Amino acid sequence: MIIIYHCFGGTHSSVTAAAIHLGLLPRDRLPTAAEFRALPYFDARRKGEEGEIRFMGRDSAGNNIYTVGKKNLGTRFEALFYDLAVALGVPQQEILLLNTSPLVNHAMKLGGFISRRLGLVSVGRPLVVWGTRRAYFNLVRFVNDRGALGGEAP
Amino acid sequence: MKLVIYACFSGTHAAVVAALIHLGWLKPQVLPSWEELDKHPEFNTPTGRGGLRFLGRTGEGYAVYTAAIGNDGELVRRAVQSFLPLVGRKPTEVVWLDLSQQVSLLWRAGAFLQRYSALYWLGTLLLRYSLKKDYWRLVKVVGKVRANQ
Repeated sequence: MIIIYHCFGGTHSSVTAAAIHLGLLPRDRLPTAAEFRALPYFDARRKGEEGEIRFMGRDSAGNNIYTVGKKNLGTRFEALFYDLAVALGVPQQEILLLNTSPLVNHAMKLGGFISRRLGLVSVGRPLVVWGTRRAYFNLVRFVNDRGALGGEAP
Repeated sequence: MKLVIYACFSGTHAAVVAALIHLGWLKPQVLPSWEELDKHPEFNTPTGRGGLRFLGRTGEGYAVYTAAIGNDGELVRRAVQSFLPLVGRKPTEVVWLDLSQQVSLLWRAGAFLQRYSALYWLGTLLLRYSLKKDYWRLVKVVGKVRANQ
């Protein structure tokens, strides 16, 4: 199965959720700022790279885990790719799109904007990491709730 | 299997007209009236959930779809291109045409204004007016797509 975590920029909440899913981040404690910064693609997507679906890893059940940024497409993003899969004859149960946008808090939005859009990484990144830590256990719950889909055991 | 997907801001105007030309339901040498376009159920009618809309299949076996992409056409193009290898498909299996930048500013403004009920009449007016010019642009785009098939 292909599991794609998606959010506005595809670089904070979706990357964090994918990392939790893959066991790159712990589910039982709050990771340090350094652990977030060490994640592949965390706060690293540049302008013009939104939309590129990036491989994060393969989970223990053999699912390939990806992340992507969808900007303002909202729910249309999922509709578009589920429909595209059907049009291509790909079985619907082979693809799962998971929207992490509702779990994003104001600190993550502001920090992400400052870091990614304005390019002020030294100001934006600490703020987005702080916001991600505040949202962390909601992201853990989000991934755990989908544990039956093949994520690492909580 | 090959897909041709025409995309525009709302997926209800330029994309539908291009798809109808592609499928031969509109003649490339005859400018259709607004009333004629309005007879097609997909024209000027939002999809609701915003996914792909199947309009038909060409004699050559191409399935023709429309899509709504808002202002994120380039993002969707990149996403589609990176999605295809994940599901074991070649990039050449999908012809993705973003028409949002191919039509005139008036056309785009008309489609945009139609989203607001109070300005719907003005949006329709602009679309009707710009159809005279933009139809031929869409004919050209579709002609290039068909020539490459």
